[in-house]
Parts: sequence; C-alpha cells; structure tokens
Amino acid sequence: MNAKFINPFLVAVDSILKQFGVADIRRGAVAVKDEMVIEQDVTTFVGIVGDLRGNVAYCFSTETAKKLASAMMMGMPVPELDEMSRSAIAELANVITGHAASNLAEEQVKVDITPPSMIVGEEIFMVLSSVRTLIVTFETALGPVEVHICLEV
Amino acid sequence: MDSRLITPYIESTVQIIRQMTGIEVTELSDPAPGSGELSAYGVTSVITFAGTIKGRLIIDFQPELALQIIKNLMGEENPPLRDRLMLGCIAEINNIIAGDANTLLNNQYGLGLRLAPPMVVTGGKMMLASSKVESVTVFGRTGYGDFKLNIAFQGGLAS
Repeated sequence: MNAKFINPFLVAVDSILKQFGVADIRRGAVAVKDEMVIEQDVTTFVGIVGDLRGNVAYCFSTETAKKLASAMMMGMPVPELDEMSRSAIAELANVITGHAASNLAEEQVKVDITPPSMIVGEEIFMVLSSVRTLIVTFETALGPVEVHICLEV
Repeated sequence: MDSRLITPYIESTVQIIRQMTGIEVTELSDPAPGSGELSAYGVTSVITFAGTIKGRLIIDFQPELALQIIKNLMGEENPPLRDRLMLGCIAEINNIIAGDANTLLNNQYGLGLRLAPPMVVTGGKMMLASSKVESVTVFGRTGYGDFKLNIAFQGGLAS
C-alpha cells in the first residue's frame, strides 16, 4: 500500500475530529493484518470506488461512540446509542471519508464514496475485505478510534 | 421508492441463489418501506455502490440458511460460520447479485454504478444503520430458513 493513498485518510480523520471539538488527538499504533477482524462494539464503514477500490471502517467502543455522537450534535447528551445518534455516527464516517476523497483529488486520484453503514451488535465477527488491511489507532480525549483502511491498489 | 430500482435486485437474488446453490425461494413478500435501520437475522452481507446515484444492498440470512448455502457451494459437511473463507462465500454471493442487478440498471438507465468490495458480518443482536438513505425491505423464505433483502438508494431515476 502506498503512503500517497493512505495519508489523505489519516489527515481527514485528524482534521474532522478536530472540527468537532475532539481534543488530544494522537496518532497511535499502526498494524497490518491480512484480514479484518473487528473486536470493537461499534463499526461504521464507507466504500470507495473509482481510481481506488476498497472500504474504510471506523471502530470504537459504545462509550466513545456516544461521546462522539454528542460532540457531533453540539454537545447534546447521548445516554443511549439511539437511532438519532447511530445516524450521527454513520454521518461522521461519511464526512471523514468525503474529506479524504477531496484530499485524494488534490493528488489527482479520483474516487467516489458510497453511503455509510453502521453496525452494532454482540460478538461480532466481520470480514470486510479480502485484501490487506492497515489499522491505525487514534488516541483521543473521547477514547481510541480505530481506522481500518483496505484498498485494492 | 422507484420500483424500477428495486425489482432487478429482487429478481437477481432469487435467480443467483437458485443457480449457485440450488435453493429455491418459496415465498417473497412485497417491498415494504423502512427507515435506514435494519435489525439483522445473524449473517449479514452489505455491499455499497456509487455512480450518478448511490446505493446499498444488504442480504441478511438466518444462520441455518447461510450454512446451507455455504454447504452447497463449498461441499463442506459441517462448515464453521466464524471462518473467513466460509463467510467470504456469503459476501461473494452478494457481490454477484449486486453486480448482476447493477449491470442491468447501468445498461438500462446509464447510472454508471460501481461496486465497493462486499463485507459480511455475523454476531448477535446486530443492528445496521445508515444515514440519509431511503430503503425498502423484502422478506424471503426458503426450505432452509428466511432471509431479508434491504435495498437503499440516495437519489433516484429521472422520470
């Protein structure tokens, strides 16, 4: 995987979370896995088509998801991950990936993104892509945010 | 939602499941409009696509039906469900169904839809949510278990 394709995503995560007022964002551990197995409670993902093809997933714990949803809704309290906050979290993935797509366009890489989907559940086992996945964990004041990037390049 | 966008997915599903696994769909409900949310049966595959409009197809199988499909496809007697290859089968079926239906829509209406890679997930009490989409759900039944199709689009066809 080429850093040219990965960096736009990482920059987008950083800048969008900052825009929503998330503090202390640090880029943490980086891992590469052959398959994508997700152990977090909440996963939201967006597909990518065009010059690149793949999926990007953002995973967090329920607690972090609630705080993120609250941050997105102007600090409205989110005691439960209800329909409204679930949709907010899906939208977060949409905004971040959309931003990444425009970052990529500056590098002359044309991509389009697909509608975001969000999954919550128990003991989830998920296969997101059959290609290598790069996982970058962002440590934030609201808890860790895992970004899984799998691109077929 | 526009039935011209929905029918190809329903027809492809019935046809591809029959062709690839020999399983007949015995009952099929009328498309019912839903919100962007779906509570899942247990083995769920999601594929998204984008072109001049964007959309998503979810096929959600009861675990028994998913296992039977895997059995018929892979010839495994007792396939494990929480296995990358076995679940990959379900994703692939979704890929073929969506690919088939999208080709039809692209040829007919010039939508230029392209598929993102399919994903598949299994687990308990799963809930799938989406933002800003309009969706319909179709319930289907086979001799081995039930399934659900959820078809969602952002935007529609020019009339």
